[in-house]
Amino acid sequence: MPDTPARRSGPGRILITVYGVFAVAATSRAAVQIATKFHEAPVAYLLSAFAAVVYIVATVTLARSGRTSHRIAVVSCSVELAGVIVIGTYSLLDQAAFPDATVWSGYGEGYGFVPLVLPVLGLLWLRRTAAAIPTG
Amino acid sequence: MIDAVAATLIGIALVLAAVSALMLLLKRPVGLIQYIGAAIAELALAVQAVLAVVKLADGQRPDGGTLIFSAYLVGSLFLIPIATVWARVERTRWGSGVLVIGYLVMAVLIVRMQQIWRTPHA
Repeated sequence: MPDTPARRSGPGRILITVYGVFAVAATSRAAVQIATKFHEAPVAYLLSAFAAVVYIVATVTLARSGRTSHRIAVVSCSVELAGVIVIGTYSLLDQAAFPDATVWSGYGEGYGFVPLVLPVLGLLWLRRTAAAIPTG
Repeated sequence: MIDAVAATLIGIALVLAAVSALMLLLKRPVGLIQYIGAAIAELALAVQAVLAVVKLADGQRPDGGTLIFSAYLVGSLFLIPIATVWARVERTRWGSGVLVIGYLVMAVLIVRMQQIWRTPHA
């Protein structure tokens, strides 16, 4: 497939844009939560911080070229998808465990469900661009 | 914050998002009209930032927390320049798509800043 697009061009650039927005949003939110009210819900806020790290790693590895970045991007998008499904379900079943919202609470309803759609689009895009990875 | 200023900013953001969405549909990369639009948006955000700093200096405080509000305020000034640079590198219609996202984020930022200014624990 000679016309397979590079990971960061075309629609990929929009994908990375949205990932970048979530990286910044999740990082800022986790930083404020941990700095100002960590004792209120330590588990939820640590999850916020974890989600933030996943978004940062996904943004960077989607934007970089190469095989290793591709692999790490696949892992981070998968972790993100698992995270939003597990935390989303858990937050609905046991609301007491999540007294304050994380990005992934309620399948990302606080963010227009973008956190649920984003990893799916990310994985589809990574599969589509897999052929364009330079070998070696 | 001042409602009229926020409403104007949201209006500007949505109109510019629509313009870039149209360019995306017409398969056009980022062009002169969009650069002018970005300059207008950034100028409007700068006006809001100045007004907000004046209010803060005057002793008024956002209900939802000064730290969070200030973070949003600083972030709002970086959004459009970063989006424009990131869109400019992509010389296809997808560059216009990046700007659509940028302006939608701008609209959300303004709404959030309004909430933080008014509501406790927002």
